[in-house]
Amino acid sequence: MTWLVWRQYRAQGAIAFALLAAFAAVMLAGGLQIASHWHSMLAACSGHRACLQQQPPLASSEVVDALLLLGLIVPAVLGVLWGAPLVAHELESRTSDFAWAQSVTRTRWLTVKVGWLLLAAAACGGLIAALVTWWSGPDNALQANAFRPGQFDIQGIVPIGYAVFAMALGIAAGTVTRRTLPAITVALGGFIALRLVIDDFVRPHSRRRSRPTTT
Amino acid sequence: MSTAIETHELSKRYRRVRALTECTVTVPEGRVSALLGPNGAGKTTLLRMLAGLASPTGGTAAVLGGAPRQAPAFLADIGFLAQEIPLYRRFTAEDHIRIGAHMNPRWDSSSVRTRLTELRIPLDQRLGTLSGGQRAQVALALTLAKRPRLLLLDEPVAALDPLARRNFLATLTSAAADAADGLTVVLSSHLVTDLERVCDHMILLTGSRVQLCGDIDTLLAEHKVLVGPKGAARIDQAHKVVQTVETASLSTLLVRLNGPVIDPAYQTEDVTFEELVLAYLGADEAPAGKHLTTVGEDS
Repeated sequence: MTWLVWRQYRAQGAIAFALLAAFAAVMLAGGLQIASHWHSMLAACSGHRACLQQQPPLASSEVVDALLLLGLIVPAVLGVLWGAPLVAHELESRTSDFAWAQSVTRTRWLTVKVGWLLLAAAACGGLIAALVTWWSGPDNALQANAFRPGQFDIQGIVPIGYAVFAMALGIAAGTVTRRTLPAITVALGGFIALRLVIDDFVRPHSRRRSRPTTT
Repeated sequence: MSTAIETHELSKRYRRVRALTECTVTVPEGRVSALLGPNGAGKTTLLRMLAGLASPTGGTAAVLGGAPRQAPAFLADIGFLAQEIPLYRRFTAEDHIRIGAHMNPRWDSSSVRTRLTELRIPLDQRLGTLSGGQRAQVALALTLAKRPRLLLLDEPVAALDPLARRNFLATLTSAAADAADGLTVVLSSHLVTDLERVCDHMILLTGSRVQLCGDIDTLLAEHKVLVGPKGAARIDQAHKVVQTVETASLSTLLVRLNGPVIDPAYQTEDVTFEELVLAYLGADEAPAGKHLTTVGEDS
């Protein structure tokens, strides 16, 4: 069963690997630069909080926006694009009848496929999260805050949640609609709507609640 | 001889539609059974229920001694080939062989390679680039590689040209003959002459119900064509009249006998497989039988 999943998704796996490698290279290069900048800043201010607060932020808002796009939106879109056909395309092209004619129950077929894809999404999300969290370390320390708008969404376990959620949403939409294209439309629409709701309504609320404790 | 398939009043409803109604059939082990019937008669529904891919809404089925179910041990014994010849078009035959090897307990990879090489079908080309006949052969070879005890084929030759059809059926018959421990086959098709060549058992469905089920030779012996003067005798009191064709003076009846025909006014003829099938299929379209009156009456 695992071999079937590997055979079906190895092209996507190669693309994801290439994208992750490129992303990691950019983040490592940028991160090392920021770290050395941070160390010279620390040396210049000799660790004084007030002096450090006068310094410009290490991560400009343009860079954070770019990271949001690369570390969150791109993986989510890919998750939807690759999750939606998992069931839908098999039903559309009737290849499900080939898989179900083997000595494997339909429950196991679905469990193994969904399991591997969600695991892959979690792994990708995890790698992105680790890179961005490390990259953001100096800036978090400078601002003494890891919960600023944008920043929070690409650090810690949040990217893992988004990647797994996007993949699961794609798979679920494909299973319900049984058609690949409508499933992609529904899942992308759903993801964008949810992202807007979180960004515009949920996050401001949690920021307001957490302000007294973080500053 | 033990039975491979035994159903009792097996029924399936999809919301308001009756796909199969109280279907009671028996297929002994080792037989090649023809599943006949017009589109929508319930052939696919019956095959999918036997394969454990659909659950009945009424009645019971015993397949190879147990109820069809989603269990690896049961699925391993069933070779099911769906109507659309489902295969991954972007994968090669070799990919499919390897998938099968990973998903089945007693998979015979070399039999597929041998069979496809004999048929000069490339193993390393995407199946989407092959012809329909070649794809059907790949699908059959893969289904046989599973070494099933029961083979359920849903109109596998429908889309094939006559030559591809003949090759496909030749592969099927040789596989059925080669199988050491008695392979049972149920094959649905509209092509009566093809079925007559490869089958020794039949199930005929019309309007979601079973009309005929049994050994083909026995059924042919039980049916006769009676030709006699129009309205001469009440044949239908003693025998079951399946089809009536009347001209100005003669009536030709296809009947299922309930004993010997005593009335000397009738001439008795044997029926062919095709006549038998067409009579039952026609009886479904015109239940009264009277609509089949030929044009001779009008002229």
